[in-house]
Amino acid sequence: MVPQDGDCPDYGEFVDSDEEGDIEDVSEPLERYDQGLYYPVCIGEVLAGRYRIEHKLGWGGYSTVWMAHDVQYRKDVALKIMIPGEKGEYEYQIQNEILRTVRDTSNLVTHQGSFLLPGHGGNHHRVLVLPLLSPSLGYRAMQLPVTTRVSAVKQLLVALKGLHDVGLVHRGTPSPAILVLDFVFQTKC
Amino acid sequence: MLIQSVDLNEGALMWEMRYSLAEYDTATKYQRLGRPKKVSLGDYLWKRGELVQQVTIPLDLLGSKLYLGDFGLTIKDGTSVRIKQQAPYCFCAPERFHGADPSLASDMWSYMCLFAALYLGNNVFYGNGGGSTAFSWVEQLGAMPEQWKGRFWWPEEVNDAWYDHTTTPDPERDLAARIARMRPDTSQAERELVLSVMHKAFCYLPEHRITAEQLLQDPSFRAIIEIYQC
Repeated sequence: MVPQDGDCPDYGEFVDSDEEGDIEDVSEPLERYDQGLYYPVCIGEVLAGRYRIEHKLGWGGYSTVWMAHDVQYRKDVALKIMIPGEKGEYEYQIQNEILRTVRDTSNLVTHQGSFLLPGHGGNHHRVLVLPLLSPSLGYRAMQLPVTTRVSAVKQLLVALKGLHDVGLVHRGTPSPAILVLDFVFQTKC
Repeated sequence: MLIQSVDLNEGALMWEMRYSLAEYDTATKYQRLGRPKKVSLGDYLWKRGELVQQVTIPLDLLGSKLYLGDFGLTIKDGTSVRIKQQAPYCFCAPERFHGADPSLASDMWSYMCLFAALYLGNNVFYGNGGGSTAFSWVEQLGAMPEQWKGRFWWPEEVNDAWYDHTTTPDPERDLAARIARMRPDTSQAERELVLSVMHKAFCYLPEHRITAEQLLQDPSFRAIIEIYQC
């Protein structure tokens, strides 16, 4: 049994078969777990002896992101668990470069630490320990007051200027489409 | 808003939480965030795992500070990439559909797409990266540079009229009309400021596009910020 606070541990709920499809439609593709790309995680599980998984924050082509409680320092964090291999290591390397070269990182999401998880077949998954923030809001951002949204575009420009000042191009968020495109390209080559 | 999760896009924006939930136990956190809904990944994997529905953070938990994250595709300017264009295509700069590599300038195009989405409440460009996306640029910004003709990444979708500078954009459907239609609550003066800012970043030729540093100093951009007292 994984450690949990309180008398009645809460690990969330398994949905019935009607709802399973709804979750699968909006979540990371299951086959990427079969392929050993994503690291399988359970709610309530403790990683690295200190990070108790409490919820899922999101996923992308190269990672799944989890809300976790650091039981050692009693704070909430986000854990970005990367796919194994070069692509999974890349963000760690570029974040280290950002931390080393960008003058003001106050509007950039950079890691507070990192560790490796042993994965399937001798692979390792890089885990980035990030501050807990709300993931992107999608269409819900439009429900924010316009002053908040205009403030956001200014903050975003300041953040982007910080990257551009050291010659870094952000490019965007890796999506599953990236993996597919890479695969198709490599196959053709 | 038709924002999807990849170019600099909305998926890379993260919002501060107004106050920490760390002092609460898990049950109390779930009262605020909802209990995780999940499906078992099955017994055949090498390790137990669950497919968990992503949390929806209530808007009243958000602060006003915005962060830029997700550096998994970040590269040094001048790096050549194998695949030039990138989804979501409505955020991707047009030169990248014509064989150019990502650059600081292509980031600025994508930035302005985000600016527009947050300011107007919807994306300015649309489509799947083919004819519909190119049409959405040409309809609102006018014809693309003639020197790009013949280089579009999806030849079956191409239309030579996109590069024909003898045609003029329909004033009922150009960018100015779109701004007026989507933000009818604003003054004419504010709309002109916004149009001025957008045209500086929605400039087809990347070498003529405004930089982040220039935009931060741009009088029109600063005037918009001033209106909203940010």
